[in-house]
Amino acid sequence: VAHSDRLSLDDARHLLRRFAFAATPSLAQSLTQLDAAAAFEKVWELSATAPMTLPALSTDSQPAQLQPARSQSAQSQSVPLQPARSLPTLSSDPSAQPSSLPAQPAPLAQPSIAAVRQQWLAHMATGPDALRENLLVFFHDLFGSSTTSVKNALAHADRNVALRRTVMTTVPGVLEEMILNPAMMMQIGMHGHTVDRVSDRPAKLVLDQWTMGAGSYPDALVEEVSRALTGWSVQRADISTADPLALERGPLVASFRAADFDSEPKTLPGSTANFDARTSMRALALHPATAKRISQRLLRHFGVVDDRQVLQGRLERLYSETQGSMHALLAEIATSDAFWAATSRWQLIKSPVHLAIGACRQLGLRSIPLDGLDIWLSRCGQTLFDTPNNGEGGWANQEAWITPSDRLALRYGLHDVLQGGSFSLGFVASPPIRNERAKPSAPAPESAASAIALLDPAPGIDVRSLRDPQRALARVMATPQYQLA
Amino acid sequence: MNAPEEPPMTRVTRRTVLGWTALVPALPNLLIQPARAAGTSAQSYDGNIVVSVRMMGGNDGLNTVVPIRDDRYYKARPTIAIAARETLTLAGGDVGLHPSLAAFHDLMNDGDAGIVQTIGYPKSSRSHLRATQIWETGVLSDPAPDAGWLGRYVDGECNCTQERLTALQLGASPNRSVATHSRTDRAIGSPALLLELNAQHSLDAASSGPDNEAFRQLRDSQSALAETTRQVQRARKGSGSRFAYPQTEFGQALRWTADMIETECPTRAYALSIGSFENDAPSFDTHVDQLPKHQLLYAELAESLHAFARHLGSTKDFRRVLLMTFSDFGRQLPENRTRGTEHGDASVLFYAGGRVRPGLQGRMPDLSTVSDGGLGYNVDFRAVYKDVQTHWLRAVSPDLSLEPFPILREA
Repeated sequence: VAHSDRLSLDDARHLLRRFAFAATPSLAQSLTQLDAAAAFEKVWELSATAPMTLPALSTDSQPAQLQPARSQSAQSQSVPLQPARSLPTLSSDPSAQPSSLPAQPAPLAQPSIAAVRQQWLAHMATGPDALRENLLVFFHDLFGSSTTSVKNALAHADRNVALRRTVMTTVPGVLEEMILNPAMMMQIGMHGHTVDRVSDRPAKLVLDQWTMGAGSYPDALVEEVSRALTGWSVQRADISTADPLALERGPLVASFRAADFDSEPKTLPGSTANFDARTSMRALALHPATAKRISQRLLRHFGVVDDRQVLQGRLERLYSETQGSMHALLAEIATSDAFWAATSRWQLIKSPVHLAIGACRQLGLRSIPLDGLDIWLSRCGQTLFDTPNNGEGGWANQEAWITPSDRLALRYGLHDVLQGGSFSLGFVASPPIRNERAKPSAPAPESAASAIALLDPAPGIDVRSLRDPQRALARVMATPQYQLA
Repeated sequence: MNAPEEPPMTRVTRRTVLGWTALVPALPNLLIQPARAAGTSAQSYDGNIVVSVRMMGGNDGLNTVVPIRDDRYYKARPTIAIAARETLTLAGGDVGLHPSLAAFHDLMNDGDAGIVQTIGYPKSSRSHLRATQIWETGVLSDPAPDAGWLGRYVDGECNCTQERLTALQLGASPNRSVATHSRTDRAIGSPALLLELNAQHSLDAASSGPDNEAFRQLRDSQSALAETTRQVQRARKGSGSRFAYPQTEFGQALRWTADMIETECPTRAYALSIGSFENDAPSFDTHVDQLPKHQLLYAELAESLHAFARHLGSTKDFRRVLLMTFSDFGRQLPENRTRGTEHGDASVLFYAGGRVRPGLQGRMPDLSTVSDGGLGYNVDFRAVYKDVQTHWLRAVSPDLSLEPFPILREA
């Protein structure tokens, strides 16, 4: 596809598989007759202009009633994606601490982490902003996260709110937001990271996973960044308490105390100054090693084969020129020869999230069996908010999803799960997992050929093998071809 | 009324699945042949076997084999040092074993296990990814080869076009020591999940598809399902359930391994992991609160290995098994300010088997020569690998050049 060529239906599907979880028939059709740049802009705008509205979070005082935001019943419950509280203050005045807050917590409705995961899944599966949600997955993959390190579900939800505000801006913008995000601060160990209690851990995680990458920086930089990250802690926004367990519930804010901050100069690549958390993050985010690493990860995430690293080189330069503009980087990918080359097509093995969310969107499900889907994803190795930290961060991608047991779950479970059905979970102590409120109704295809057309698998499926149209969707979803994007 | 934050039934990961499925009393009895009776097919194997265990995260050798007479250790670790009186006695008296390794200590006393002290390699890496690559491949050059040190043996010494399942990974966490260039290695993930799902569905043959590596991998994985499942089904006839394996991912993966060995699975090299960068269990990357993490992990390791030894001892298979661990790196001598330790260099290697040199091997670390907090190595791990390649696997063309460092009792 040359830059000025109009996209065929196959081209449009290729673009959507990579950027929007899956090709849905109507959206794919709407991209035909556009050139690659215009088609990308349309996909971008769909997310950039979409209202950031999520289905309401169920809490422990309110049973799960997650419905997609666009459904009529959910509108009244939907919550805008505005910051729940004011952003953390940079004040160095200790009185800025929430000391005037009450010592006793007010009755607090607290969601479970499962509810937050399911809220995200529901929005990914049904919201109009597929690219934005795809970028959330990208950054979760980059950072690594843990519901063991961060037990506060609200904090995880707030982190996603912050990510949604920033993932379509610039990479440094995302990183600056995240470094003072309470969930991420607790994740990397910045909470209580003071001038007289410095650990390498926050700096190493920031350097290894968020920015330059392991092996791309001198050891001495760890200490400098560690010192820059001092001074901040996480506190409850609604009460004044020193009880660390209180941080496992309720709204959290980042709080700065000058006495805890190492105010001596720090030497980061290129300059020596009194860097703090935000300024050090910006400096690291703009380093060429970060540009290289983010470019590599974007190419991996969007499944572009770039053996000669031509596109990667262009992305690195563009990153530098645009200060990490996500729009510029993604537009460059979407209009590159490498992206459209035959070698880049059908060679990306979908992650379980991409597989499942793509299927939901293709089937047009408006009501998702979220409990079952959540568990199925975990069984396939991808638990949202629990991205492994393997030293570099992230799910291992591609062939790492392929083990015989995972393959079985992938092949045989997905359709049943999406139907709210009888996918066994293999342990007898628990009741069947069903969301009785969710009654999905995937359309039964009229023929095997229409099932293939709807699901857009890679070529090679023999239509004659799909004798029963009622099971055609399940069988196509179980093929290796459907696991490819 | 407040609901629990995380209802157990919705908190399923691959790690917990293993534990739960182990509680299922009886899965359908599918296509299972009597273990030994069926073990004489071309798919059986009764030669020497290596089990590689990755201790994920970088194990602190100093709190494993504790230098109890060295004040420098206690001065450097005011809050996390293991008191001499708490350690388990080891020969010589200068070092003691971490108390949570009691079951492993028993194995050492029985002559079935040992530890190589201060093991490492020149210019060691403190990056998890890079260091793990080095240990898995036995090669220091960068980029690392795509095959692990055991996988290369499988590639070079086994008749891989005829034999299947010569190299297996079990569990959710990767250990690529058995990764082969020929792609004949198999990653099972969870054997229990494999059985459970396969019990409900028949297998389809993969049809044609795109001419690329991704599709070939998916198709190969699909075709491998049948043979892998058959072997796992056969392993259910093993006697592992009679032994006290911990109900953890590693404990149960080791039980499956032993059951496969008992039922004469053709596998020569197994790869497992203990500790996790996923979030339901601690890892050996103990930057924070090292002591409780070690208590859990060392007990899990020791009790698993003890059950493994007893299990395979009862079936007379322990003589043909060598289990050995590795970890990314050791930790630095000084403790940090969060009751943990930072990435270091040399560490320890555990091993067990029916024909090993028992006890401590190598010299204890010299704490006067730490470099940037890390311990220098006395034994190059590649020399241990060479011993295994040469004297255990009897590789015709061992590809590591160092003089072997002996951990085997019999050549």
